Amino acid sequence: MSDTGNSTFTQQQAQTIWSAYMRKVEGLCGSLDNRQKADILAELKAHLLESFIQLDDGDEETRISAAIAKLGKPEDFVPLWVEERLLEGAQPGSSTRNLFFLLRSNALRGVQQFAFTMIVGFGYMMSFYFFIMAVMKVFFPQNVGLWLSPSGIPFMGYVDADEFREVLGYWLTPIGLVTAVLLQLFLNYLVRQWVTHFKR
Amino acid sequence: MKSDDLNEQFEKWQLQLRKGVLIYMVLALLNKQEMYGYVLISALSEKLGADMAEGTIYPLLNRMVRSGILTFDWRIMESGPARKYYQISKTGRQLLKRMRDHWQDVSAGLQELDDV
Repeated sequence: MSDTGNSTFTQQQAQTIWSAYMRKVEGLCGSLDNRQKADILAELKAHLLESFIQLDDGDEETRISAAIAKLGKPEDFVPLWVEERLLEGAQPGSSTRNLFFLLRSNALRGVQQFAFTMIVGFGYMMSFYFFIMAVMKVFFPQNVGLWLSPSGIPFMGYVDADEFREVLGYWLTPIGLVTAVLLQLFLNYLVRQWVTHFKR
Repeated sequence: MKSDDLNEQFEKWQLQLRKGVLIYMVLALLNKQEMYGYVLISALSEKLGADMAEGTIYPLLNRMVRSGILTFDWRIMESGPARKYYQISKTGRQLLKRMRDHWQDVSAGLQELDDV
């Protein structure tokens, strides 16, 4: 190996094995942000190279294969590691993106998790709907709003008929935006509590 | 019970035991000195006397960091890649002390059972 720091092996086959392993790890880290991904890759790289150096028996290909065998298949431990990193992102102030990936990875773990994911997913959709309606009200003031149907049923959306009575008027925009933000913050809080509870 | 069944039962028990003591061992090792992943995992393998997939320890280390019982810092080395050094935190030391006390109680209890 000419340069351990850059993980360049003199034997092409050793380089191929190394690259394939690292690619697999990287692929499994897909839901992490770049910093978290780089962190995992750097730690594994340091581990593998140290292991490679310690195994002084055999050519590069044999040694890197042995080091990789000792470390284990990426699919056996990287997904767990990724979840742990995502949970770090479940701290207050973390992005909805992280929470979404966490929810997704938990969804198929059981009936409770699945039901929770469905409910929260619906909540996020509602939050998005409030946001869209609030914005659309500015561009289609006559058709978008919170309406009461002739039978007195309230609903929010786009209408093109005269029999509906508008309730909020232009207040829909600020109220819709505030509701969207508050709903999203509440759901983020709920997801953090939920995933932390399940990971304790 | 057949010999195969006996071995299977024993291996299952051994695996559970290993899982149970892993956090304790990591804390005990890091209480002596800070370590980076490779050295820590090698020490664990040696103490546990078992072949384990080394990679499986990393999610555990990450969880321990997240729980606040370990801390870490990355260090640039003169040669080779940077290393992530793990240290036990103050909370980790408190947890280790409680684990030790409990372990001694359990151990004494087992000893009593064996003496009967």
